[in-house]
Amino acid sequence: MVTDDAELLERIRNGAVDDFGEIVRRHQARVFAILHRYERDPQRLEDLAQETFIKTWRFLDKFDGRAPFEHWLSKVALRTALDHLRKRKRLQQEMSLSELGESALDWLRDPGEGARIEARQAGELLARAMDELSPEDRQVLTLLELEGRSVKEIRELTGFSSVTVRVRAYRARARLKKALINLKETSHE
Amino acid sequence: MNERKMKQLFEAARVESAPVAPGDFDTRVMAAVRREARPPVMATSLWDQIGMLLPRLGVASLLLIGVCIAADIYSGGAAPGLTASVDQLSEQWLFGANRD
Repeated sequence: MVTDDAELLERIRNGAVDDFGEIVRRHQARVFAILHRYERDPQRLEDLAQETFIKTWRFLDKFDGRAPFEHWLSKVALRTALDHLRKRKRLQQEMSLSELGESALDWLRDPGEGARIEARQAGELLARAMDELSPEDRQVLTLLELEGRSVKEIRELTGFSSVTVRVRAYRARARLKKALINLKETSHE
Repeated sequence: MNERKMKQLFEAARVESAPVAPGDFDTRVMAAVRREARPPVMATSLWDQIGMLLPRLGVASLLLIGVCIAADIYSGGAAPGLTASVDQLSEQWLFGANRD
C-alpha cells in the first residue's frame, strides 16, 4: 500500500495507470466539496468532478511536486468550476424562485435577525443570488466567505493579484447584497 | 439585507456538507482515463500515407540509381571513353571551319 501521493504519482508516471484510481478515491471528497459551491445539481456536479480528474490525468506531467498535490488538484477543480460558470452564464440557466423553498424565502423576507436558516437552504439561496455575479467575482467571494481562505491563498489559487482579490470581493459582496434584496422583493410579488 | 444578515447567511452555508461521491465514481473515472490512455487511432490522410511510404520510395529510388550506374559501367566498354569523346568534339567544332 502506497501512502504518499508523490510516490503514487511517480508510479503512475512510470506506467501504473490503475494507481490513478487510488488518487481519485483519496481526493474525490475534496473535489466534490469544492465543486458543490458552484454547481448544486447532483448529475452536473458528478460530471464536473469527473472532468476535473480527467484533466488532472491529462496534465499530470505539468505537476512539478513543488506544492502538495491536493493544492494543485484544487486549482484544477477551481478552473473547471470557473469554465462551467462561464458556460452557464452564456446559457443563462437560473434556479427558479420556487426551487428555493418557502423557508429560505421566509428567512429572506424576515426583517429581523432572530430567524435561523438551515445550511442547505442557505447554500441554495446563496447559489441563486450568486448567479447574478460574474464567474470570477463569484469564485473569489466563495473562496473568501464560504471556504474561509485568506487573500494570499486566493491569490495563489486563482492567479489574481492581492489587490484584484480585494476589489473583486468588495464588488461581489455589494452585488450579492443587491441580488438578495431583489430576490426578497420578487418573492413578495 | 444588512451586514449581520449576510454574515448569518454565509455562516450557515459554510457548514453545509457536500454530496458524497457515488460508490462507483472512481471506476467511472478510470474507464474514461483508460480510454484516454489508449494510443490514438492512426491517421490515414493522403499526406500520412505518403509519409508512411517515403522510406520505401527512398530505397526504391536508390536501387534504381544503382541499376543505372551499373548499366552505364557495364556498357562502358563498347562506347568511346570520355577523353576520346572530348577530342572528337573539339576536332569537329574548333577545326571543322578550317577545312572549308
